[in-house]
Amino acid sequence: MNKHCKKSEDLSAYLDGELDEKTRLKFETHLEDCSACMEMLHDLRCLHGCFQTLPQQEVGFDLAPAVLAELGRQRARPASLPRFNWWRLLPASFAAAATVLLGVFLGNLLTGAPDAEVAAPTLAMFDPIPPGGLCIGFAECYPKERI
Amino acid sequence: MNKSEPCGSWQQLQDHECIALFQHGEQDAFAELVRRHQNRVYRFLLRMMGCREEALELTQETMLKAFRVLPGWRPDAAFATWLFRVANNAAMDRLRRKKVVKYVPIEEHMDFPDPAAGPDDELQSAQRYRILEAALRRLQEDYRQVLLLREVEEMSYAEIGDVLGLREGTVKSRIARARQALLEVCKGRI
Ligand SMILES: [Zn+2]
Repeated sequence: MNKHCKKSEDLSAYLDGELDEKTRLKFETHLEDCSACMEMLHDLRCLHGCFQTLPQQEVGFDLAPAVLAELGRQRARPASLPRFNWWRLLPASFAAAATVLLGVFLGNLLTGAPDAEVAAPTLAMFDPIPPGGLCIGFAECYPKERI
Repeated sequence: MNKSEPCGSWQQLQDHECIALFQHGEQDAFAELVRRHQNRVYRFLLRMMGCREEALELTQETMLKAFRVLPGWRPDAAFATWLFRVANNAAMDRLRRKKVVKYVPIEEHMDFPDPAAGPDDELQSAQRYRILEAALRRLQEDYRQVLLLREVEEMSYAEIGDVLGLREGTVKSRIARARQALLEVCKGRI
């Protein structure tokens, strides 16, 4: 391995022709006396030569038609949707569904009291509402010791 | 320009001329831009990702983005540089998501091809590039990026700075460190 030289950054830029005139001349003077930089320059040139031997892989087909077809597909998707946007109806649908469910629930409270007594223990077992959380009012929803 | 004209006429146009035609609704001009740049972008992505399918997918993604951006394109940057910026961002996003952006210590056991395997010149050259490709895969991504852009794409430091969003001074020091790292990985093998 090369002994590191503080000028290795300049060396790399020198190889790439990216040093300004003044820095380049200064570096060339340094290069004459620095064996580490000389050795490194040789290695970097080898490396560059090796990069030139890398195979030039290709896509292998014309990508343009595939890109244009994909664009066509992406354009077709929103165009096929109705202009008024179906998702705007979502709140109305939810409101309608909620109204129906509320009606059914209130109807049950008024007319189906005996059924509620049977259903309540089942609810207590599976109800996801934690103890102390808001509940519609069945005593069985809560642990006995808290009542 | 007439759509029925042979491809040869497109090839004589500069990128910015193709872009101008595309901005006036000529879709064949876009197809020409894709044809012109697809292999360079693909090769860069292939070496960044190490997988043909992913490289193809990201090349297509890059071209799709170009199609969307080009109508409002102003020629304040080279189109090729811009393409590489998009491709590089796509590659880094994908690598980050796959959580493979990591530094692999150079001491780690490496499965390098044996450089002394063939006496033949051509075979030796093939071995050398395989060793180089294996070494590149072992480098951290930010080193691999700059080396591919410099050594393969032969971009200037200013162009690399544009692609990666870095100052030229940072590009200079990163390339130097990347070369040092690469030499350490494949020292004596190429
Ligand atoms: Zn030196």
